[in-house]
Amino acid sequence: MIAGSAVLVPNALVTTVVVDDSLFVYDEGDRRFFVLNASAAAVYERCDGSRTLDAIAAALAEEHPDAPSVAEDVRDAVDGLVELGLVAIV
Amino acid sequence: METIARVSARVFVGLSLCFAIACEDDALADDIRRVFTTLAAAGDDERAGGPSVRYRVDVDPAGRCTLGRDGETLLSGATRAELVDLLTWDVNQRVADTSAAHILFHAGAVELGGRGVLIPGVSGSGKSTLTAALVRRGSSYLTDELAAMTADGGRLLPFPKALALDERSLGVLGMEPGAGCRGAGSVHVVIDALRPGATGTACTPGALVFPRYRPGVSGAPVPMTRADALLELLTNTVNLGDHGGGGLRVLADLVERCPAYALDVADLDLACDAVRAAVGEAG
Repeated sequence: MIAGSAVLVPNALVTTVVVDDSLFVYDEGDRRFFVLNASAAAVYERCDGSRTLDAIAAALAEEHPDAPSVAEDVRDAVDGLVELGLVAIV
Repeated sequence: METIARVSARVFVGLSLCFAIACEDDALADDIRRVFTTLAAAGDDERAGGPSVRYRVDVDPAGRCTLGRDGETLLSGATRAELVDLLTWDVNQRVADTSAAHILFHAGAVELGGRGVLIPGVSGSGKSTLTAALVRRGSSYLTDELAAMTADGGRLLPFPKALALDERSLGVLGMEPGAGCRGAGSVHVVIDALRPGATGTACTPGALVFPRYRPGVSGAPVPMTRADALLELLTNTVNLGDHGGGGLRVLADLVERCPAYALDVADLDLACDAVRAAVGEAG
C-alpha cells in the first residue's frame, strides 16, 4: 500500500494530450498509450512532484464535497497509475 | 528494367521502399507487374542506390513456386496464388519497416474533391470495399491497407498497390475476378479496373471515416467525438512508436482539424453518398 505521505512524480517519458474530457497519455518507454477518464486525469495532473497522496486526496475532496469516497478513489487511481508506470513514488 | 542473375527484374517504389522483383515465368511476372504497376507509375523508380530489397520468384516444371528475398527463401512449393499473397504481404511489411518517417495507419485512403479521406479499420471492417466503391464512383485511389501521412500531419501520401478484395466484395462492386490477380484468399484488383486513371496524389487530410460492416445495417454517418476518433485512430496507427509523443500531438491535431464519422457500410451506395456529403460539409 502506498503511504499517504508519498510524493508522486510523473514519468518523464510520458507525453499527454487533452482531448474533450479525456487525457491521452503516451509512454515512450513502453511505447504504449493510455486514455484516462476525467477522474483519473485529475489525479494524474496533481502528481507533479510537489504533493503527497494525502494532499492530492484532500485537494480533490475539497473540490468535490459531495463525492462520498474521494480518499479511497484517489488511492485506487494512484495505485493504477503507479502500476502502469505513469507516475512514480519519490 | 535491370537484371538479377540473368532474370529480368522490374523495379517498383512504394513510399520509401524501392524494390525489385525478378521472375522467370512470363505469365506470373505479368500478374506481379499488374499488382504493383501503379507503384512504379507513382514514384521515381531510379532512386539513388537502386532497389534496397530484391525479390526473386522461381517456378519449377510442376508449377510450384519459390519466393526469395535478398537471397533468403521465404516460401517454397507454393501455388501461384499463395505466392502472390505472400509477396504482397511481404512488400507491405517492408514498406512499413522502411517508411518510419511517415505516420502509418491500417487504413484505406482516397482523395475526394482535393481532400484526403482516411478510412482506418481492422480486417473485416469494410474499409477495402468502401475504398474501392468510392474509387468506382469518382474518388482517386491513394491506398488500401497501409496509409501514410507525413509526420507533420499535413499530407496523405499515395501508396497505390493493387487493392485486395474477397469475392463477396467483388460481387457487391459488380466486378469480375478477372479484374485482378487471384490470390489464395482474395483478388488483388488492378486500380485501372476500378476506374481508369484513378490513382491519386498527395493531399491534405479532410475527413476520417471509420467503417464497420454489419450485414444489413446501413445509415447516416454518425459524428464521433474527437476523443473517440483519436482513440480509434491510435488503435489503427502502425508505428506510433517511431513518432512518440510528437506523433500523439500530431494525431490529436488531426482529429481537431478533420471531422470524424462512424459509418455502417452494408449498403455501398448509401455509404459513398454519406462520405461525399461528410467531406462536402467538412469543406
